[in-house]
Amino acid sequence: MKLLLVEDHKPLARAVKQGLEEEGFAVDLAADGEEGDYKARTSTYDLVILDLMLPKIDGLTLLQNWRKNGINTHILILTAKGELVDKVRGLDLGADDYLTKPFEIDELLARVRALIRRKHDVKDPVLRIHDLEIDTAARTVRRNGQRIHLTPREYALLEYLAFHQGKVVTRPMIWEHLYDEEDENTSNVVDVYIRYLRNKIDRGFEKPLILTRWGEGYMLRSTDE
Amino acid sequence: MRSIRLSLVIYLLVLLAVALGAFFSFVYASATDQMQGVQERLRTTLKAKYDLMGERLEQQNKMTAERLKAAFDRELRHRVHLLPQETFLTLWFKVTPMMVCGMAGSGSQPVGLATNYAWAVWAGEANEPWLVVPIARGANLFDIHVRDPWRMEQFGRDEPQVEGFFQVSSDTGTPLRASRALRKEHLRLESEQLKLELLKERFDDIVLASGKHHRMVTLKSPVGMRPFSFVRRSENRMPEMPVFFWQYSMSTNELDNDLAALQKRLEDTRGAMEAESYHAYSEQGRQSEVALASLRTWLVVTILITFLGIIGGGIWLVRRGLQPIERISLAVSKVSEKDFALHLAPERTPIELASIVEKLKETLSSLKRAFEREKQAAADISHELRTPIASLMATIQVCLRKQRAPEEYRKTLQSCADIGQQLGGLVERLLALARLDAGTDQVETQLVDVPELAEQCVQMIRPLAETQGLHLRLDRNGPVTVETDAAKLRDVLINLLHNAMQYNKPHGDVEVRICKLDGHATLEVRDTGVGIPSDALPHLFERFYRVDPSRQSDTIHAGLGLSIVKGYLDLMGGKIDVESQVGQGSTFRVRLPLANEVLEPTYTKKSGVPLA
Repeated sequence: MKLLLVEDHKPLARAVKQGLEEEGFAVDLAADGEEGDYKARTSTYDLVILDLMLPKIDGLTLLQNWRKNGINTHILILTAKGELVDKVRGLDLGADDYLTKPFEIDELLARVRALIRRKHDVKDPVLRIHDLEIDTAARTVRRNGQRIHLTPREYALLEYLAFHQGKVVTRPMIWEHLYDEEDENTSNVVDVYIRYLRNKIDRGFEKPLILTRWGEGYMLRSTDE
Repeated sequence: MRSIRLSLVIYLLVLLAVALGAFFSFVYASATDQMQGVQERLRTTLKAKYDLMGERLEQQNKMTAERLKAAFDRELRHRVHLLPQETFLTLWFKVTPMMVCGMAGSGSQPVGLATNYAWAVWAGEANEPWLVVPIARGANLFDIHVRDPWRMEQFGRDEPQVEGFFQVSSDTGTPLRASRALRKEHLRLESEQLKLELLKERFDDIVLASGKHHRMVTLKSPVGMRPFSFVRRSENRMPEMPVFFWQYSMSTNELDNDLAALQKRLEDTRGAMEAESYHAYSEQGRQSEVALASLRTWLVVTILITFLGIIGGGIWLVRRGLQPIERISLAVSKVSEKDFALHLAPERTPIELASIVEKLKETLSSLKRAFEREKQAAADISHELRTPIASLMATIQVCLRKQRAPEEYRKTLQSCADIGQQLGGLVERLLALARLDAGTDQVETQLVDVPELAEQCVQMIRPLAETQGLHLRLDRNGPVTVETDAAKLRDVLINLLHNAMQYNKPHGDVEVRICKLDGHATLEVRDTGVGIPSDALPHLFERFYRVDPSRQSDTIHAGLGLSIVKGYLDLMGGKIDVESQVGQGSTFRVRLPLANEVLEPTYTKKSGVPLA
């Protein structure tokens, strides 16, 4: 999943980005409202974490403009403005969640995960496909009861496939959602990671879950298939 | 507790009391005066009337008395004329001392007594001359000796040395007959003489108009109607005289009674008149008293009613009149902390209170603004502090989520240290402001060479300026000494330098200039930054005021810097102003009064530390 973090306080931005990345999220940064607006309009994100007190354009204005212009990405407001009126205002203007500083990083991560689930219309944090169990909260994977250890990138890819189970996921899509602006776009980095994943998930198990759709992309076998 | 209503009512009461009192006094006094005037006039009228009446009565009486007397005299005269020859009249005669001497005896001793002699006169026919007959009176009253009758005309001729006069008057003093000499000037008979007893004589020394002294002998004798005989005496040395007798015939008793009655009537009438007058007068007096009393009552009642009426009306009017004040105080009491608004319809505010209400509204709205600013400021503070704290927590929490290499921990700790420093700076500023607010800030003055201090600050700032690509310059010429708090001045300058750098364009300039002007030291910090719009200039030194309401990068100022600068300069007795043009840059100018001494520019006096 790719996130946009719009925050002008550099140390905070760095810390949050690091935390999210270590959870497997791809994170783009914007240090002011203008930059944030530009990035939000030109890239696709699964979630935007938005600070309100921004230079150039303030957060609430961005929020309103985005919603007016049909940008329907989930937005989590992360701000020091913690009064009730602020919260209500933020949510009523179109935000999906509101978190005040200072905050616990765990809470932020949990809320981010919840918003991701919401995006894919998934209620159960545990994704069960055949004998594969993905606990999206704990970020653990079991197949047939057996724990499988994945790197954050591998997990992110698997989770992405799982959220789109039964649907084809193209390489550009994978690239868009799992790699931030700083990553280098090598031609087959996606294929490489698919191979890594297959090794861990499918090898040694009866049914291959990660399927290739030639010419299109990849797919995780859905439950009924 | 003073009350306008009470004061007004009391004043009204006093004024009313005074006015009504004056009215009452005036009316009553004038009424009394009038009454008195009327009474006076009445009294004068009555007096005049009664006096007139009295006078007329008296005159009437007098006339009546005169008439009575005249009637008596006429009667007397008539009787005198009717009397037979032998009738005598009362007579009075005058005797000179010589005469007396001659008559009294031998010698020339003035005896002045005619006791032994009396003159009797009898009247004849109407025009006949009277006969004067010397008579002698004896011890017994009716013992009379008469000498030869003499004619009056002869009297005086035959005895030239006898210079005597006689006058016969009636009982009332009217002269009936007198000797020639006295005809021109009758002898007046005084009351003592008129009151003489019968046949008792009286002596008086008189002076006639001629100037001659005479002794007057007065004798009262009855008038006889018919003669009767009397005894002749011969014991004394008198010559033989015929003896006559007379008898009392006309008494004045009736006349006296009549006169007395007349007088009594007069007095009675006068008394009655006086009584009547007095009665009328006192009646008038009583009536006027009654009138005055009723006037008094009427006045008192009217005044009381008026008083009460006006008091009642006055209280009501005062209440009405003070209603605007009540409305205002009601509106003021309803002013809440929420809206700071005075709900008062402006068209219903009276002129007198308009300026107060205006001022009140102004004050309230500036209070509201200040309040809003404070609220905003409080929100800003919390915001300012929360973000660095959130960064700190996030940094630490993220780091602790999993096992890391020592190098990572080191970097994380460094980040924490940086954030901590930021927080520290912010807290310092807040503390500085709090101290300024509480007034506990001390100013420790010492002699400071401004260019030196500026040099120090510029050195401190230079690394930061260089990382931002800004050009920093200090322009100084000669020593400029002020007596002030060096630490605070340093803070001020650093703050201004930070601002100059923060709001600057890339590769811009920051220039510090120091000079002397008009007995003041001037310290200028100029930048080629984004500039400040003119409508922001008045608010520039307000707390938490930021030209751009959103934050600028990782500032540690939180909009507090300039308000601290102003606060410090106020304490130090200095001034600051700013010139700016949007897009060009800003110039901040600090002015401090020059010290009397001049410091050598190598070190500050107190610290004694020379510059490197």
